[in-house]
Amino acid sequence: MLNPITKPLNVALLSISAHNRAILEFFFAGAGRQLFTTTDTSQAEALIVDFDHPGAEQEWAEFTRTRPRPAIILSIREINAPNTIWVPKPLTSQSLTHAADKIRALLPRNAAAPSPATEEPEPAPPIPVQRPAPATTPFGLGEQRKRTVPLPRKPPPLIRPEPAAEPAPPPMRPAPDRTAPPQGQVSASPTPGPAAGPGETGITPPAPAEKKDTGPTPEEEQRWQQLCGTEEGQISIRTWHESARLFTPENYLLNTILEALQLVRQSRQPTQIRLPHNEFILLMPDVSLVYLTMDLYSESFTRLCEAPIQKGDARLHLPSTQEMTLLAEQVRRDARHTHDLEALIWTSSLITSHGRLNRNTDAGKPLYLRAWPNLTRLEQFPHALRIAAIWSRKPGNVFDVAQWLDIPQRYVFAFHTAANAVGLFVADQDKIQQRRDKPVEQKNRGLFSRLLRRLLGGGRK
Amino acid sequence: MITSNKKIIFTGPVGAGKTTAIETISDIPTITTDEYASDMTKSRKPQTTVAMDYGLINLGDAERIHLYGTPGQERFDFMWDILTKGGIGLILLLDNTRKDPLQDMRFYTNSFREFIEQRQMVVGVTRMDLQRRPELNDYRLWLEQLSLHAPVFEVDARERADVILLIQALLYALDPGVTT
Repeated sequence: MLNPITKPLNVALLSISAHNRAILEFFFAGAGRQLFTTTDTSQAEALIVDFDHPGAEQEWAEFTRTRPRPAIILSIREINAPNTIWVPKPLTSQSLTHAADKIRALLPRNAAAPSPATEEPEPAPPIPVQRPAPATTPFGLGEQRKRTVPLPRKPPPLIRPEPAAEPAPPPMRPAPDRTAPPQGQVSASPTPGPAAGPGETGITPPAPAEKKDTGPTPEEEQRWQQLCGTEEGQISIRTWHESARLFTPENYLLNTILEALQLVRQSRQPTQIRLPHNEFILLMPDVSLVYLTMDLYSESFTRLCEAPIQKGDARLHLPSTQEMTLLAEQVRRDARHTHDLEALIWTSSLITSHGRLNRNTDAGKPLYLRAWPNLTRLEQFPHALRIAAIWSRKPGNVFDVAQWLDIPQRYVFAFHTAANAVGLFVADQDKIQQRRDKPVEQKNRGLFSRLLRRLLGGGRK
Repeated sequence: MITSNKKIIFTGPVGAGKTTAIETISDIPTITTDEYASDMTKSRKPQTTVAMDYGLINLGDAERIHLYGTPGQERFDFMWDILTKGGIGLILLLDNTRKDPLQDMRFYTNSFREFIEQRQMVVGVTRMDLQRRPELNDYRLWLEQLSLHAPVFEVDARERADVILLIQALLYALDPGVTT
């Protein structure tokens, strides 16, 4: 509990770099605001000295020779000097609080009022430092580097851009002028500003933009139907193998893709899948990329994956050195058709599954996800993130997951097929037994929902 | 009247994209404390965050999500325990072009270990378009070796959709029952 009678101790920062000064001032403006106030050396009751700063020890010795004062010494190594309290680095809020207690005992006439226990108010926004204009390149050296591989294409975005008619956020997000502090911001100062939490600093957050809950576009709906089907009915663990909602992978292009993947992993050589009409897919293991002569997210590729293929329509071929030279040139010229290997497997699995179960898998067997799919670069569909989240928390079979999340089974079946093809599941029953489910805290569910709605613009998936 | 203040913390080495990620989704112009780096960090980024970045997502009805970016330089690690108080979770951004991303991951997960175990971490790997290796699977294996469970994604911190997905993953990982 805070003691309103105790005044913060006036301290001067000695031999402290601008960087460390900014951090200490951040602490004094927030969690440590009842402990210290920085001031100049003439008014300081105590000093804080960074002994790791060059020349600090000498400066402190000279200063205290004429104006003796207790000091908090920050240092990596232990310091035993009279009238000082050593605080080892890395500093913590707790160690600074303890140091505040101890230093009061060293004050002349011992003003030793107990220091307040530190509450943990929200830290204030940082005190900005005057700085020159930003680098023109977002990541500094990024522009100077050359790409070592073609940039793989991303799937169509799940989060749609705002409709053109709606005003974009510029009033809230002006091009940052880093030469001047933003409006409402405390300007740079050698001494800390008054203690303030984020809500007290004059930053007036804009009201959240009104987002229309427009739902998915017809194109998105259509794509999700291609990936996950439309089946609403439920099948059970007892009868799934008699269900019509199964597919036989051997009948589809997916099987050839998985065979090629196996070959690539064994041989570490580029492998081609030759398709009708001179189309092909090239798997390049050295960079984990694939090249397709068609668009991965096109209707033509979808048709190729969703219909059973005839024998001989998809053939594996190991290109010769001569062929590879020509293929490499084609890949270089047509980099837009280059994708992550995982993206090919993921998308072709989803299309093939179409919300059905793979006949060759044991759908009743509990599994868990050893890793989430890379959903920033893989095609998404409704509930994909939630399925990944729950399946990485606790083991279960496809029917459990659909039930836990209360969602149509087709989404879980599609996810199961794709994640299985990419190799993300752990099926080892011993490991599953060892897996401990971290209890889910539901206390923030409302807040999380509001945050998601805000970020996603209200669109339902 | 503000009744609810929660935070999401962005951490990671210099130049991994923390400042950019916060700028990408913040409702306010982000408050940064970038200044010219005067030491070895200059070789990676002309400016670097010395205290922290601050951004905000305003949910209305007196609710805010604060976005804090930690300084990228390891010597400022003493601030981190202060920063994590009241945090929902941690977003660790790693730069795939750095010399030893595994060492970076080890350093940051060790530094925030207690917080990660209590809450949740999501990993975003940046600059994979410039350098493909290590691959995401390597990061996943490293996490397993560190006995940590966290989603790992390739991200571009300039892409709003990527940063939003990191937050989505963080929230769903904490509570898969959340719906929109």
